[in-house]
Amino acid sequence: MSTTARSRHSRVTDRGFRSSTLVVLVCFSGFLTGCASSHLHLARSQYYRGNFEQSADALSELSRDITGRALMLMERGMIQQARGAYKESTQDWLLAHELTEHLDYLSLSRSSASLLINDDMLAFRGAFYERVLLHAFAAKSYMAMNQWDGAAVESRNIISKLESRDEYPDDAYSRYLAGFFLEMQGDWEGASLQYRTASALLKTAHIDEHSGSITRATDGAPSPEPGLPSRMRGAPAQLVCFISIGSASPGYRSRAAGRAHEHPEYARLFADDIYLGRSHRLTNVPHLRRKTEKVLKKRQKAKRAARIAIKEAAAQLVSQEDEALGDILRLLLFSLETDDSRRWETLPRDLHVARVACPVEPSEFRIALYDVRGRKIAEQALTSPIVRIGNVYGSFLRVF
Amino acid sequence: MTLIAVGMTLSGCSAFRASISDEDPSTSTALSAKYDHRDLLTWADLISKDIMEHPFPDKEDDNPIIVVMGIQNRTRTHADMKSISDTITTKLLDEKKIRLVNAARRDDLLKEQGYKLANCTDETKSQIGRQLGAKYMLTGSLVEIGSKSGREVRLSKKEDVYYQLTVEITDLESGLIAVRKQRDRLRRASKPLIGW
Repeated sequence: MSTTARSRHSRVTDRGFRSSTLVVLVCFSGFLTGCASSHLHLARSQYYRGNFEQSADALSELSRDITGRALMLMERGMIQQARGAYKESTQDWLLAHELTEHLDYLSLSRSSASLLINDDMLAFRGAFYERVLLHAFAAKSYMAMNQWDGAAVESRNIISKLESRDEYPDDAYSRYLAGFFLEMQGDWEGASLQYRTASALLKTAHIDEHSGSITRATDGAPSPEPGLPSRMRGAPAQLVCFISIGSASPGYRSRAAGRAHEHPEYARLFADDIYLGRSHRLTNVPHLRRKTEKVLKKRQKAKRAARIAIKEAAAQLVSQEDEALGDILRLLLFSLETDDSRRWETLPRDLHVARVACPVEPSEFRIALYDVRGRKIAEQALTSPIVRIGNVYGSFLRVF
Repeated sequence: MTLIAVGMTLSGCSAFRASISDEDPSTSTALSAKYDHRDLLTWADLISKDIMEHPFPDKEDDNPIIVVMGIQNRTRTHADMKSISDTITTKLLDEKKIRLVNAARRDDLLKEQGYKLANCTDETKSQIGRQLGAKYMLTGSLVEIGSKSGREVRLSKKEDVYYQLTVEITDLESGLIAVRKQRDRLRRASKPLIGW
């Protein structure tokens, strides 16, 4: 073979090798994404079935790859909280927070890969509302451990994020929670501001900025809660209960409840058989998600158009050398053209707060759940966590 | 070129090797704008000096008993506040300026009354302090104010983090503040917006 012919042959072989490598890389990236998501799916399924130990086991080893690590930590934090491992949950959420802050830059390698394949190649940082709720849930775990300073630290992170939220939606629940922990630290001015901001975001409830008490609002004006026991008015103690209801993810909702018409809508609280008051929905997570997606829509549309053009160009380039390989690459690239569906799936649907007067040192707290038609669907004792600071009892509960 | 590559491989590029070295904590470089060991050492040193230079306690009140009721963390960082009060009181103890109630005794009494240091009010803290035979109570707070650069076309993001530490010594009989000292610092951090 002459030198020219050998050189031409070598170039053709090189090009063929490069094309094959590209196809293999695309296949490999799709495989890696699938591996991580199967662990997550198993953990989430077990979580919604109430098998918290199995759920935690499924995520006992986090992937070394940074792409989905923050999401795994977010999910695992929620699972740890459900099984009462509050310290572990704060560790996971703290790591997730650090990771999302660390990833706050444009990665040239990942951005290039996402332009060729899909946005699943980008390291998951969570949507804005997820990054805020991360602190809200971590604050509750700190409260459960009686670490009120820790809860207040998370509150200040919530406020800091919400104050620089740009076009992203505000979150009344996180604002209220931040206000509550600032109040417990003696920062009344900071608490009032958060209560006032949260109240302005609500249509169905009113929050008193001076006391943090929540009442139902009719036509925008606060109205006294019907049925509020007169003997509990002016009671020396208070119970503040953060109640999370349902699942924010449609995919897991059916597994969670199974009876769509019997989803709990609100809760009534009792102490020693005395009715204390009801919970109020401050945030609906799917609503936050829709509003966030609206903000991101334009950006994603432009990126998708660019990605489709790049995919077509890459497939054509390979087709020039090997038509069959080009077709395979085109098929692969376009089959991987999906929206980034990664979400914090163990987040609840509705985030409620109940702040009610209660007797000092009651022997028990009970909670009754009602559906949208006002029918009682379940009742359970509120046992753990219940913590106390002065005459304020703090608690939280997750209802599926 | 090949020789350089072989040389690097044989010697092992230091950037790719794990290493451990001892550093002086007071002179080591800050790795972030957040509260760190440098702040702990510097502030504990300065605040304890400030307290020692202050005409406290009164002459007739030599070597008073002080109970430490914690320094409140009002920042966005989970910092160990016990270490800063421990460092301050160690320096004061070394100077034989004060006597200190054992933290375990304080916590036992708090526990007996159904409290933890984290969940008791200021009133309860004073009451517990008096019960422990202390004349003064040491409290304080660490406050953080942070600001980030806004959205604009640039290659790095700047962040200013301001901390202010306030330490108070309160007379438990009169309820008056006998000493209040403050120290602060501002640190600027810059972070690239584009990376590999």
